[in-house]
Amino acid sequence: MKKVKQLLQADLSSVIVPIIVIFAILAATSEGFLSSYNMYSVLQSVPIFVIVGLAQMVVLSLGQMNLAVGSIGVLSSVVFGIAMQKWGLPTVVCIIAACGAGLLQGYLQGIMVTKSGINPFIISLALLSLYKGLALVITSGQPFSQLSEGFKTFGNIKVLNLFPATIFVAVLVGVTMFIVIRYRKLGKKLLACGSNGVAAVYSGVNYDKTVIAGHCLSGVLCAVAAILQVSRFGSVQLSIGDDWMLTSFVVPVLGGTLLSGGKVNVIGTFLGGFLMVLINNAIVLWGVSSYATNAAVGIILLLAYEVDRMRKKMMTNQAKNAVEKEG
Amino acid sequence: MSEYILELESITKIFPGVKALDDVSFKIKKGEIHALVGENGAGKSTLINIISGVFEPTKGQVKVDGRPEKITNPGKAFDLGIGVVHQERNLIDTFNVAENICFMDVSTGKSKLIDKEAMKQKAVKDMERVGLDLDPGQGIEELTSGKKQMLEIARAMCMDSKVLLLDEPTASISLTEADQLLKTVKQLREEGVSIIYISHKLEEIFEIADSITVIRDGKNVGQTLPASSLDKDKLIELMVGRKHVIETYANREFESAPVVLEADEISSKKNTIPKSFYLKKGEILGWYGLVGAGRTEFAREIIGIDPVRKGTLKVKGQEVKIGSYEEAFQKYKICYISENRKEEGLFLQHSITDNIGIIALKEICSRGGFISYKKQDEITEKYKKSLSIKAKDIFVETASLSGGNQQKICIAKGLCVNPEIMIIDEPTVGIDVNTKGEIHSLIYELSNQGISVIVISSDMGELVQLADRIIVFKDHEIKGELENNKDYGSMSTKVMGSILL
Repeated sequence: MKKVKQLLQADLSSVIVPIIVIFAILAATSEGFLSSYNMYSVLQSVPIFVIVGLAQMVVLSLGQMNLAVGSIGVLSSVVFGIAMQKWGLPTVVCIIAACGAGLLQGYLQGIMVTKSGINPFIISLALLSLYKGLALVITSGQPFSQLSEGFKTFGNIKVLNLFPATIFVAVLVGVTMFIVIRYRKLGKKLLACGSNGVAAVYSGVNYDKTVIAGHCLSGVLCAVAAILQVSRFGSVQLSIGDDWMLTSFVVPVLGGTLLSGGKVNVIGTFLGGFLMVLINNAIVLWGVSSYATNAAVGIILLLAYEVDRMRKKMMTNQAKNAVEKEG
Repeated sequence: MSEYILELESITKIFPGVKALDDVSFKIKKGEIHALVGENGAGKSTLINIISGVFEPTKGQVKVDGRPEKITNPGKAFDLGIGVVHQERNLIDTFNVAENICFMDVSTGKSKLIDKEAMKQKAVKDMERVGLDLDPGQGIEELTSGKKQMLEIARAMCMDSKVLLLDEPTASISLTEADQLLKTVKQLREEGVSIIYISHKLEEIFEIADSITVIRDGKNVGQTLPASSLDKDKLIELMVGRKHVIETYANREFESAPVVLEADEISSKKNTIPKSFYLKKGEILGWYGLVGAGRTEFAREIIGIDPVRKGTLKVKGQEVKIGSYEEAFQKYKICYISENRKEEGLFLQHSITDNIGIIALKEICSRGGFISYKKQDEITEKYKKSLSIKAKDIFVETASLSGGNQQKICIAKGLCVNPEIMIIDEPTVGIDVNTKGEIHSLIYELSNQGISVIVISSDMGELVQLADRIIVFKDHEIKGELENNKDYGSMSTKVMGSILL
């Protein structure tokens, strides 16, 4: 029992242990699991999950949520598609334009959350629908498939016959986020606002600005994930981001991020993304109906919330014990 | 059958960070009015919450009519015949009078279907019992706070309660309404109801109470005593008691010291009453007043959270307009330490060093804007030593520390901005006696270093020991200013005098 407690307390082990267990079970039970084809496809899914998870993590650090991750992704990818197919702009400019679109959408959400007085949940829900709707209106539902060849191949390059090139992008984004959260003022301010907004104001943090910055960052990350997705598909599909919302919550929470804000774990989120992909892979390899994936994500989300709650409970108990020892 | 309707035995309650109750016991006889007195933060409300099932005690036992009971939730308390009127109003604004009174019936599942006619009749009957004459179909929003208070008592009694808990029932109602309330309470006693009465107003207590239990710092002070054996002075002595424990600081001379902060008839949108005062360099200025007297609100005007609208505020002789707290502490070196450590002061899930780091961002950042944790830890270690913060190391979560140590971290956060003026709101609320003395000596030391300190407190003993000068607040106004001669007896009379005027 004591060991279980220790495991739960150590944030990372609660994601590493399941990874090892599922990995071992899959390696033992499914022949195809360790094949380079399957490994490659697993690793190809990881970047999207990780970056979408990080996008949600930034907002969770504020104790808020971004329900519109998928819609921001799809609208940003539409901007990307227009810039590349219609206007024939160079790839780098298209990427910047898409990220800019993500930033703008995040900014709008942040502004509304801080200034409008509308319930943040409703704002995010409304924007989820608004952004997706805009994407559909702009494109009339038509995908963009005449994209630059170099960009399309990037999404499917194999390094060392195993690693997709996109995984390195994910690592780069992960490292950047780690630095932002731990070594930049913004990270400290985000966590302060998430932990205790009033205390943050009394500590000289500009609460509104910080919240807006957090939403902007989240928007950019959604755009980055969308660009990687487009590169992998080789076209801008309007289904991009449809299944992001639930996983975006599961991934960071599995990795030790508190839903109530003030505590995040970038490495954990990275590993959480990997764990999610493994679980999805297991469902496929064990021949469970793909319809079951949704049910599984729902269950995992509930479990992740429960772990979250237990962590908090333990934190208060520790605090109580400390008082008892003192007095 | 027992002689006592309610018995509390060795009740201990621990919250994260503080031991609110430590081995408290008392017994309430049937049909008596039992007063529970103590200073702010002594643990009275925690006791009420334990009796009414809001909290469970960490240790100890509650007996109702001689039987040990576990009161796990407020519903259970009602079933046991314990009616509670909390300090805050707990009526539902969108319900009418009858619905509010009979709400308990519905919520405890005694009647499955709502019979409107029966509900009205019951409401009228219950109101009659407490001398209230209202239309049961009336909305409650427009009722005066006194009427609402009586309505809550009617509601608490509607289940034929044997015990009625009243927490500061007269705190926010008019004098005539308070008289009516006391009459009702006496009448309920005649009917055999036992009443636990909590109040700061000692006159009331001596008017109605049969016996008195005093609580101080979460502990019993002696035995429960019959009210007739006490008088006001004795009772105050029992409540405060610690006068002798804590050092009183010497008088100081500020004749020639420069004025660092001066307010001339300032007012804000929230409080339009003009207020003036001055603060000299190195002086400790006490702001005395009861809770709700408008002291914190006034501090918020000065530090720019509710910006000043009219009048002039001068810092070191220069007229200033402070528009945000950021400006107050960065530009004018004024820092404010909140009375709500947990809600407004600390990031409880963060470590000590991270709590300090957020306010010292400028100092701990290198040129490229990267945070140096080495520097952050150095600064924290420095304060841990100089303020003698007791913790395993600087990486423990602040939630796990005692109230006194949490307060020291709040002070350290204030000191991080190198303040010239500090406003400390209720510095020792919920802090044990020993740490209280430490915090006092800390504040005194800071003032000796030339920092001007405003101490906001409703603990008169504290201000008499510590302050050089005391300003008295009442109803959002400054009622008087007194040089402090550090003699508790004469000062308390003077302060009370200026409140009553």
